[in-house]
Parts: sequence; structure tokens; C-alpha cells
Amino acid sequence: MAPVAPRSGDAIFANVERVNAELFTLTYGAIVRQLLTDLEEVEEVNKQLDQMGYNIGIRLIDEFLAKSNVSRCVDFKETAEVIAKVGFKMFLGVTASVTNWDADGTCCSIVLEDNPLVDFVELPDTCQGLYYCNILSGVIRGALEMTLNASLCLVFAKRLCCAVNITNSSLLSTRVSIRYLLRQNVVSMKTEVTWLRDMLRGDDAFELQVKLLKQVPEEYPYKDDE
Amino acid sequence: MIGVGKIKQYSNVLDKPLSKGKQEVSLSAFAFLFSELVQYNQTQVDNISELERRLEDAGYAVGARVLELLCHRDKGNRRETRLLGILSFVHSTVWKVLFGKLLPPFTFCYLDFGNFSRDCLQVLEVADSLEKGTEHEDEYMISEKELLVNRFISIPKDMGTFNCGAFVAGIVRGVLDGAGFPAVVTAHFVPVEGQQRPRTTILIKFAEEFFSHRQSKRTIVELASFRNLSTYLLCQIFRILGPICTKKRSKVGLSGFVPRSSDVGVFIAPQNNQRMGENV
Repeated sequence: MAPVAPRSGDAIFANVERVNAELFTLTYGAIVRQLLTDLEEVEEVNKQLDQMGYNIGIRLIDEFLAKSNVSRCVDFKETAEVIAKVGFKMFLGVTASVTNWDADGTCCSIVLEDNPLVDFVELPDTCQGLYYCNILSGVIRGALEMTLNASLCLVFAKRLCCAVNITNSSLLSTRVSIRYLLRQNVVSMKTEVTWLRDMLRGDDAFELQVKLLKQVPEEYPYKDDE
Repeated sequence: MIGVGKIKQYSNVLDKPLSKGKQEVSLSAFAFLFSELVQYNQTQVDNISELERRLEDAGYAVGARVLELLCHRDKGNRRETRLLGILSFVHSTVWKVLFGKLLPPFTFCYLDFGNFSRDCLQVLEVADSLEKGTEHEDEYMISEKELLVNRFISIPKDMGTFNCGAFVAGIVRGVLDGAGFPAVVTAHFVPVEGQQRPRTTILIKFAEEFFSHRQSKRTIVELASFRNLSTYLLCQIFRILGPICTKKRSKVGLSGFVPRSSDVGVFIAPQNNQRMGENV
């Protein structure tokens, strides 16, 4: 199949089905409120939000790769750009920007100025330690960690769709494509995502610091001569 | 333009200008979020009814806020005080804003309000989507082919009649409760012949007090958008004039809601042990 050019965030967002952002905002508020009532400790709520975001992220990456036709990112820099420009636009309808690269290129900041999660929200004094949007950090972390698996699944899916009968030759070609993919260094990225600036705490924007901890290339599961 | 440029900082969230409500997020983002809500609640409960109740409570919070938001933004700080009005509000405005779809315009069934209001009697066809229950006077149903929240959800057989539409039922209950119409709202699957997926019906059962009460002489005065001092003076005036207007010795109760920092809406109703439009 000829490679398809990656689509811009705006184009994808215009094509997906959309819902009112206020329903989204209010539902998220209900979730946070439920967590606060159940868990009571602000730190616990932060962790739970991050975990929920992680669960979302590992499934979101499938949809992201399927809809955006992003084939592979050469390095972390490109990955971060793609997340900010395409990912956020596609799901939340807002664009983020990437700034503050460090010397190695392993750490950057994603800055969000408009965030649909925090409309109508004000943090009370009892919840000052709460990272209200912590679900976003979990989503990014989960999505990056599952990049490889999602890419593999996508390749399989595309091959299965093309093949009328799955014969030996098709299976072989599938393995060949995986090998090709791996040689292209599609990796799973372990990252650490923290909040630097939070508008609910008085800053002027939302800033997430994404730090690449480890890039883990997966082992090719099949022997070459099989 | 949203997403471009810096947003002006406001010290108080109430001073921030209210958005027009046109911003959108992708359906999948909402679906993911809702699935996490359901999954989290599944870990916190032991049985189905508890899960439904928790989803409904989450929806209740959403509904209460939606009412305030829409009343202020779309209805100019006026809130419905009649039963048909509030049902119409839920069925059209709320549904359209939240779920983006217009349910087919409804016509009323033949309604037996009794003493509620003679002029509300209208003989009409049964609607497609807003219907009155035939067994009980106080039941209404909003039915939809597929609720937005249920689109990507399949219920395993061992969960029986559980319906994630309990969230939407909670939203409706929140709106009705906030407007002063206490009701019990539930969501049910209704299998339809010829269709694989069942329709969902939101069943609204209003509280007893609406229908057992003789309300023909009820007067409801609704005022909106007053500053605090004048509100106080007006309330005093109505407290004095109230019994004269209604020709009854009834206590005039008042309540107010504060949609924005400087606007106060006042709802005044004769206090036959019943407050309509209580808020805050």
C-alpha cells in the first residue's frame, strides 16, 4: 500500500463526530467530584486521575494512529510535535504548543492555553494540592507507552483487510512488514509527565513537562527463518 | 479565537465571560471519559443497583449545572415554572445542547391535569419521543433510539437490566430537581421488533405532591435579574402584597438563585408547603 500522508489535526477534527464540550467538561467535573468524595486525600485523587488517564491513553493511541495516518516519528521531538498539534486537536479540539526543549532533546514542555476540562472550574481552598487535569498526563504517558503495540496492531489490521484469504504468503508478508517496522525503530516510550503550570492555581497557561525516560524497542517475536 | 493567543486572566471564575457553548470535543474523547467513569464506579460497588445509583448521582451533578447554565445563557435568566414548560425544556433545549440532536418535536398527549390548570388541556396525538405514561398520571417518557452515552457500550448478560443511561437519567433528574420539580427518573431498555439494539426510554415519575394538590389558585410570579438591594425591597413588597393577591392567607416564600456574581433571580410562590423554583 502506498503510504498515506499524515493528516492535519484540523482536518481530522472536522471529520470526526463531535459532542458539546460542556457535556465533556461537566462529566469530568462529576468524575473529579466523585473521586474527591470517595478518596478524600488530594494525593490519592491525583494518582487515581493519572491511572484513569493511563487507561484511556493505552486505548486512545489505537484510534490516534488509525485516524491520523502518522507512520512513524523519527525521534522524540517529532513525537512531541505530533502530540501537541494533531493529538490534542483531534480529541479536545484545542491546539497545544511545544516549547522548552532541553539540550538532549529528551525533555520538553507542552503548553495548553485553552483547556476544555477546566471551564467553570475553581479550586476550593481544601483542594489546593489537586492537579485537576491530571488525567491528561496519564493519557500522554499511556499513549506513548503503547505506541509500538498499537502500530503493530494497525499493520496487522491493514494486512488482514487487504488479504482475501490468509495464505502462507500473506502471513509471511505480514511478518516482513513487522520486521521492516521494527528496523525503522518504532519504539515504546516510557515517559514521565508532570505539571509545571496550572491555570487553576493562578498561572497563565497549562504546561506539561514530558520527560523521556526510556525508549524500549520491542523484540521481534518470530525467528527469521520460520 | 479559541486556542489561539493568551486568555485574559480572571481572579474570580465568576467574572470570566461565559462561553457561547459552541466549543466541541471529539465523541471518542467523551466516550473514553465516560467509560472510565463507569469502570471506576464498577470497582467501588458490589451490585448493579448501587452502580446505577452512583452513575445517576454523577449525572445529577451535571444536570443541576446544566440547568443554571442554560437558563442563564439561552433563556435570559427565566426558568420554567410549569410542568409542561420544564418537560419541553428538557426535551428540546437540554437534549439539543448536550447531545446535539433534536428529538422529533413533540405534541402533548391528552393530559388530565385535574385542578392543575384548565387551560392546559389540549387534545393531541401521542408523540414519538415525549410521551405521557398511560397507567399513571404523573409519568412521562422520553425515548431515544440510542443514547449518546450508550453508543460504545455493550452490557454483558450477567449484568441484567443495567443501563448506563442512568447517567442521563441523573442529568434529567438534576435539571428537574433544580427547577423545583422533584421526580424519580430512570432509564430502561425497550426492545423493538426488527431492531437489533433496543430503544432507550427515560422514565420520569413526578413526586406525589404535584398531583394530589389542588393548585388551581396557584400564582407564581417570576422575576429575574435584580440587584441585591432592590431584590430585598421587592421581596418585602411581595410579602405584604402576596396574601392580598392570592386572596388567601398563604405565606409567600422566596428563594433566589445566583447565576452570575451580580445578578439575582427571584422566584416567589405561595407557600402551600410547596416551593417551586427553589434553588441555591
